[in-house]
Amino acid sequence: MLLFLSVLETEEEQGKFTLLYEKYRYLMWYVANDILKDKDLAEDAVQEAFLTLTKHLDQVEEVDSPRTKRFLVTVAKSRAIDLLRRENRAEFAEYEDALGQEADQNDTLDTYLQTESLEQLVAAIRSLDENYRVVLEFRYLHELSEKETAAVLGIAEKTVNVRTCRARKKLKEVLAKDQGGNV
Amino acid sequence: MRRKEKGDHLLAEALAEALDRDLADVPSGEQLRKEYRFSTTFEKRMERLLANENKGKRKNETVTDARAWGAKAKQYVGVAAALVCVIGLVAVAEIFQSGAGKKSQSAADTAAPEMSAVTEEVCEDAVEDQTASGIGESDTEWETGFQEDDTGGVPVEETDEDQKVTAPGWQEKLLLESAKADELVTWHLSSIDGDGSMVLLSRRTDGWESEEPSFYVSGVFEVYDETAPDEWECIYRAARTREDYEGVSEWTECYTPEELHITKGGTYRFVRQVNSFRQVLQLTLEER
Repeated sequence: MLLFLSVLETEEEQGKFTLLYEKYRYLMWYVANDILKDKDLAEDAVQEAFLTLTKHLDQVEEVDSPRTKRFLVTVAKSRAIDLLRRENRAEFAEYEDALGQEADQNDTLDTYLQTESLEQLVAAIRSLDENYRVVLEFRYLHELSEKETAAVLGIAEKTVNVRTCRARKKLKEVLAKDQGGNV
Repeated sequence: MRRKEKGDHLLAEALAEALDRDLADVPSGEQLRKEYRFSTTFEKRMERLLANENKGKRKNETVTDARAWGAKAKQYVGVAAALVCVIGLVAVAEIFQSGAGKKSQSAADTAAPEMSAVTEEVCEDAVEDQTASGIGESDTEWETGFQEDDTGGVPVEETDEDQKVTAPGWQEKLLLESAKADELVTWHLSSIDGDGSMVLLSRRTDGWESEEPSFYVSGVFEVYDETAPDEWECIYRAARTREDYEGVSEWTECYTPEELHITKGGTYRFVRQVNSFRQVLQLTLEER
């Protein structure tokens, strides 16, 4: 599946895209391979990540910035997760079923966020499954709206909402467990 | 700052820190470059994408150099997509008889501003009662020798290999069948490149969340030229390839007019296979 650089309308966009590719493709491959444990699939993930990027290049301001680096890493992770999903459909069907459960109506994560130290929050986030982390990163770190996140991930807005709720709930569970309390 | 906003801010900060710590363990780009070499296939794909030279089809398919066509032939610009709206059978008949249903397509105008004229013919979907109308799945199932089927069950009056005219009424049935395919995946013109290459966008109607049904989609395997009102001549025919699009929500293909045997302006119908249905995309190409 190829999408073409011609989708990028201006030379500036094409130049930016090329620089991003030159600078970040190895990092993106590494991150994808870490998830997929398959070098070839990781290459596919990188390719798909760049294809995704052609449609969301407006999210990137500077080529050489921590913010851009993080964004591209999140995109690469999301593509890798998608590929993993395709490779392990049964496993992910179960995951999707879990996502289909009702959203957490009493989201008290904000309370936990303000009572925990940054160190504890970081540790909790790093313990989360990448499925959860990616959606949180798009929504809160990269500040994408539900609609924008849905476009990047290629899923429905409603699904983004459910995944976000689920991810927040999971994070809250981790934090509560660390505190030795109940969710 | 409200509690929620503060919570979101703290969460963003923690997510950034977590990601940075993850990346701190990653070898440098230079180190990775030494340790890993991307496959030739990957490099070629990306080079093609970056160089914007060849307009490829889907992954693993052959690529035709569109520039070659552009250099030696007249350029054609495009048009607009067929497909996908639902109306009744009567309305469809009216469209075929009167040429109604044409309307301008601003998206296509945007995509190809140099077009001298752009028209869109909407092949209105008319499957309120497909069973009653006798229109169902195509004659050939994908799984049963579909790839080898070269005619797709098309009634052909003319026997000349490259100049086949379909029987009266067959195109209408084809469009009705296409309506079923449209329920699974939409198909329309995404853009026209400067050299006339047509980028076609497909999008699953259910997103990629659904596990079922699986999608098997071919490339364009037939092209019909409207030689006269309601008369369609097959100008291109190829074996139907089969690709599985499970888990993919949208994808693109790119074709040059040359590779589809289009050498002049006119109205054309592209045909492909989606599962057991044939799908039609109608484009009006105009020389510029």
